[in-house]
Amino acid sequence: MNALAIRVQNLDKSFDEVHAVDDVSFEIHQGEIFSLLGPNGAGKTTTIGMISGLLRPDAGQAWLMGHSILENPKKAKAILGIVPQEIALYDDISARANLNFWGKMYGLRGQALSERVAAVLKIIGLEDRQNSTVSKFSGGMQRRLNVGVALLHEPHVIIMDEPTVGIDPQSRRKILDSVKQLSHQGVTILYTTHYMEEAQELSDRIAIMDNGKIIAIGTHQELINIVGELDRITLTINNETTKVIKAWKALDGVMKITPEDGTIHLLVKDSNQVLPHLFEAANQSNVRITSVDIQEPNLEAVFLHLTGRALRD
Amino acid sequence: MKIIAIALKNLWRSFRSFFALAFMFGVPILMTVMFSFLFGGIGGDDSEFTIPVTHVMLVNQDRGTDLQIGFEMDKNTYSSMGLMLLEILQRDTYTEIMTLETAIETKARKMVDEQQAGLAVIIPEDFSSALLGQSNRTTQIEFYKDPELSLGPQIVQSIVMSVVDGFSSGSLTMSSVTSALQEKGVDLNYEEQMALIQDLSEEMENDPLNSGQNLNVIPPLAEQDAKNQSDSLQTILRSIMSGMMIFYAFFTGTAAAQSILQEDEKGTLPRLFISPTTTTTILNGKFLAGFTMIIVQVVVLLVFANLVFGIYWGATFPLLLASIGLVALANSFGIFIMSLVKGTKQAGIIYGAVLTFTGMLGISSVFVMGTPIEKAFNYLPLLVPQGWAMNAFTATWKGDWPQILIHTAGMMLLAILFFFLGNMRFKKRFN
Repeated sequence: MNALAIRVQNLDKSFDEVHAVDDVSFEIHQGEIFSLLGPNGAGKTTTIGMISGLLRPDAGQAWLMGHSILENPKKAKAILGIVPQEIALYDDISARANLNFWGKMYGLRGQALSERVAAVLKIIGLEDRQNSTVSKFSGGMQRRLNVGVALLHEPHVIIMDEPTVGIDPQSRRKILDSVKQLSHQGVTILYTTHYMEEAQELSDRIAIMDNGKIIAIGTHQELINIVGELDRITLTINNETTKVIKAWKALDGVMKITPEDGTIHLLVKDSNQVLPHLFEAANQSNVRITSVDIQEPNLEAVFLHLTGRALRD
Repeated sequence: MKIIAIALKNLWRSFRSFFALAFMFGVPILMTVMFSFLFGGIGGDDSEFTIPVTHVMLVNQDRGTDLQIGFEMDKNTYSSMGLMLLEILQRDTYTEIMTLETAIETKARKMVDEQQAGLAVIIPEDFSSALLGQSNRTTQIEFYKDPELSLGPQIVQSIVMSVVDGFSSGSLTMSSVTSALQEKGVDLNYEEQMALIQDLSEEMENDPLNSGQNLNVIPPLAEQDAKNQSDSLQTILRSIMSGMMIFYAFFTGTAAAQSILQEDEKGTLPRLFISPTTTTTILNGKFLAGFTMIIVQVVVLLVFANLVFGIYWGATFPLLLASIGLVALANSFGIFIMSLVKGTKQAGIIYGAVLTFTGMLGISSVFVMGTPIEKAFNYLPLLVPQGWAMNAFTATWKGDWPQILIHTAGMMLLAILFFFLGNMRFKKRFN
């Protein structure tokens, strides 16, 4: 097992009445891709805010490559690259000017700076647009540059906070590929997302967060094992009544049922066996099923199982 | 190095902004140009100074004196002082300032009313006799002006008054000389008195400066009047330019400090904070940018005003002191103001209200120049930082060293206070 790159211990943060992060602890090893998966407002951004030194925790501590972010922030920050959720760039200057400036903020100068700027432009695929003003870029190009800034100083640890929000599939793919490439180069990555597919594709380990707490942590398989072999069925119905919900709950093989605005999420042991009974109960209750979606066990199911809510809520 | 990189980035972004450039240079220059046109043209030295030509209607109702004497000037004899005045005003010296036309009173007034003439000079019937002491009544020349014109009629009025003052002074001198001679037992008859007046008049003509010194007569020279007008225009333009420069320097200082809030909202400031760059370095880089921007603004405006309007700002060293004081104060005041607000939306209100109010009060002495309340505005503007800057610049061009030192010291103290408070509040917010 590699040495620890990030160690988070009992982090806690409140904003007025909101307990944003509640006693969060985890460890990430060097070269690992670790995802924090959770819906919006789960506390992911606040957690990485404290790890990166932007927010001061009410309690707890975080270390980056052994350097405490509270006691030795300069050293800890120097080995950290961060991709914020919002695009944090100067949009009235060029991509190159942005990279030059941010490179200087990480201590790069002269030839080393020029070389790194050129290398990063290549990685993010913006070589041909390097002299264009950022405001003229598409959302995807801005996101790529946003990622590029974090790569300039070749950090040991990179934190990416929902880097693919609101971008086109092509740019999304480019970012995901660059994350994998960085991992192959030995860079440790802490990746936050509310896209289950991204966490599933990228991560060595995943922590699921909800309401400021880590509710599950492990590899993809370990998390799937939490829900066992349960299938997830999502039904859309024309008329949600308590009668049909009660009838479905009473069926053999239905483990969990979560109604939600005309859509019903069910965790069942065997979808093939349960599905005819679901239709039958619906008929008896004069409810029409308008669509059916069946999924094999996945992180969505895990989240549903643990919280009673869908991940995308 | 990081401080410089942050400052350079801010400067680069600011100088690419049309809005920033317009406020820093465009508006102050535009305002001064507008005022310069309002007051009659742009001019630096005397040779470049242009005075609008005024069409003057002269109504000469002067009947001369009961003595039936003639007034001699340049070997010509005139039956009244009114004619003599007419002759003086018709000289080539004044052709660039006025065109003269004689008329009866009603026509002259009508011409002014219809804006075909800028000024009517109405010489009363008893003009000569009053000047020679033949009448006990006071008399006066009436100036009937087009209210929409200011500079041209004023210059002509000033010329006429100076000529009349010359006559009047000569008459008074004559009266004094006659009395003094009488006390010593010497009586001059009218012919002898007239000859003496004639000599005085000729001396005034030939050597106006010395005759002026001896007789306390204001020489009726167009050049001097033009120069006086030029000086007053200079004073007006200099005051306006100083006021505009100070007013907008404070806007620049606040705008530069506002970039801290803008970056906070855009996410670039938090990103800077998570880089291995200290809060102090980041803030100081931003303050340095603001400082540099105001230096550039002040230098450009000072040089521009000197080259284009011919404004003399005063000696170099005191000007340097006042400028440094202005730059430091405008920058630190901006930092202080912006440290009090939560976001850019609030900052917009600050721009509109606080800076406009303090700015207008600070440079209010410009707007009350020459009015009865002028003196009160020597001190009232000192309630706001802009007032200290305005007084420092006023003292600079007047060469008033004690005032220069007092106001520069005041500016520096205020600058230190505002910087300390602003910096402390920003650090508290971001640490």
